Amino acid sequence: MKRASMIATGILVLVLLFEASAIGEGEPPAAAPDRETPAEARLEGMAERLRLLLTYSTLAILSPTLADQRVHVQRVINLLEGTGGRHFVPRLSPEGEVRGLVAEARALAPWILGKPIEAPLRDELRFFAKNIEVFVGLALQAALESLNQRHLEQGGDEMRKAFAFLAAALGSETGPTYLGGVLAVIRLLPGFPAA
Amino acid sequence: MKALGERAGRRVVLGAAGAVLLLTGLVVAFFARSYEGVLQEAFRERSVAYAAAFADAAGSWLAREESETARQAARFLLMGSAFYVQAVVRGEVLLDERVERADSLALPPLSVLPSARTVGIARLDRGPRYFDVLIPIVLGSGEAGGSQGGYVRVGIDASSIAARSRGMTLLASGAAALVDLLLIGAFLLLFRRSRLVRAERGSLPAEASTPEEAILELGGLRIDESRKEVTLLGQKLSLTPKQYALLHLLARSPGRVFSDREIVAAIWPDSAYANSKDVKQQVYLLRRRLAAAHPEGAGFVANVPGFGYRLAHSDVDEGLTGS
Repeated sequence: MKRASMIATGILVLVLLFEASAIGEGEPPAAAPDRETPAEARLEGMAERLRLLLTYSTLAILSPTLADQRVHVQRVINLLEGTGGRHFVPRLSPEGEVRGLVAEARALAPWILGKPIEAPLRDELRFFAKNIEVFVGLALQAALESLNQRHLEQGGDEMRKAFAFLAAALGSETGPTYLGGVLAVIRLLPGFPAA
Repeated sequence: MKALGERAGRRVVLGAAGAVLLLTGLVVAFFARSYEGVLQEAFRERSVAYAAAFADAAGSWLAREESETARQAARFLLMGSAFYVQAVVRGEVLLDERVERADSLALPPLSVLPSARTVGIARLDRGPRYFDVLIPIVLGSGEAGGSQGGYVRVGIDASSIAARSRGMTLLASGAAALVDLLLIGAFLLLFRRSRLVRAERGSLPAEASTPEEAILELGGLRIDESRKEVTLLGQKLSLTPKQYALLHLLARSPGRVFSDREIVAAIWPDSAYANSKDVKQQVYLLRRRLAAAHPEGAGFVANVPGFGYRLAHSDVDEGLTGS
């Protein structure tokens, strides 16, 4: 009986260790919703970082050499994963601690759910938040793929994908909001001056 | 005469080899130059686009007074192939980031603002070449405080062009060397083959061209090349083409010893299978025909043990006249 319980404990420990390692190897750590930061600042901050990411993606696409491209791609990865991310390189993060955009996008949907918003708009905003999370995740995948390329053109092609996903995640300040984006969320979220 | 021909042949082969080397060398040099030109043009265009993208972003950061963001981005450019990044607005240097070796480079603010994107090529302290790219920028919309003209200047290391060009030139040189080897090898093979043919032919008298020259008379033996007729003491011999060719070969250099190999090459030039046995058989048959015409006739084709066969007409002539 004692032996059986020891085996069961061992299995439990192994399962827990496996799960812990899976979490460590996978996506960047999820950011807990930052309840202290005002909504406007959070969303504006996300939009600002997406614009910065678009700039670095552009520089990566137009880089004259592979070395230049890798610097900008790594910068994009750093901003997406944030400090503690699996591919984060501290040398290319002069601002110090970086809150990863992937984690922030993942926390966006729960944050919207916590807001007192009426049903049709809330569902729409959740849909937008989901899209932002997926687009940002795909941009990270493309950037990581770009880092694996040995030729400037191929690396540039991957960064074009990253650029497109980031642009989709940012969305548009005007026009219809079918797939959303951070700018669309800002426009529609009640309490914003733009809304 | 033969040595002269050989020397001329050697000169032709050497000349052809030299021409091939020269031609491939010229092709490689032309290719290297063109390729470097193409690379340089592509790199130049890319560098301008790269600098312009940075200038655009830097312009908006500086307009919003986010100079730290612009400085950070400039430092990322320096981590790659940029030597310096400078932003000047209304004659004031707002941003000046450089790599260590570009510290001594004098980059004073330009008194005349560039009206369009300009690119120059310069060299860093006799070191690597770089593109000096100037991109005009305008800060502000001009409504409130008026627009402020300026420019962003980026120096981009262009030494990678030479490195890439060298790599490709090396590859082209390798391919050219291979072509040289193949062509010169083919020349040498052709030369060697022609020398062998000439050696085989050169040992023989020149082909008969006149009717008089076409007739060989060696004592009682008479060979009419034009009519392919052989008579011994006036008696016509009936020979097969191979027997005739063998007798004619020996008769053209009377007394000279022909090896089996030489005979095979002369009589069966296209056969890869003819050998000494065939020579022996033809000699035997020829001797029989000669002996049929005269009892001493078989002695015309003498065996030189270990070396080959020769036409021994003088030895036989005595026998012929004696009989």
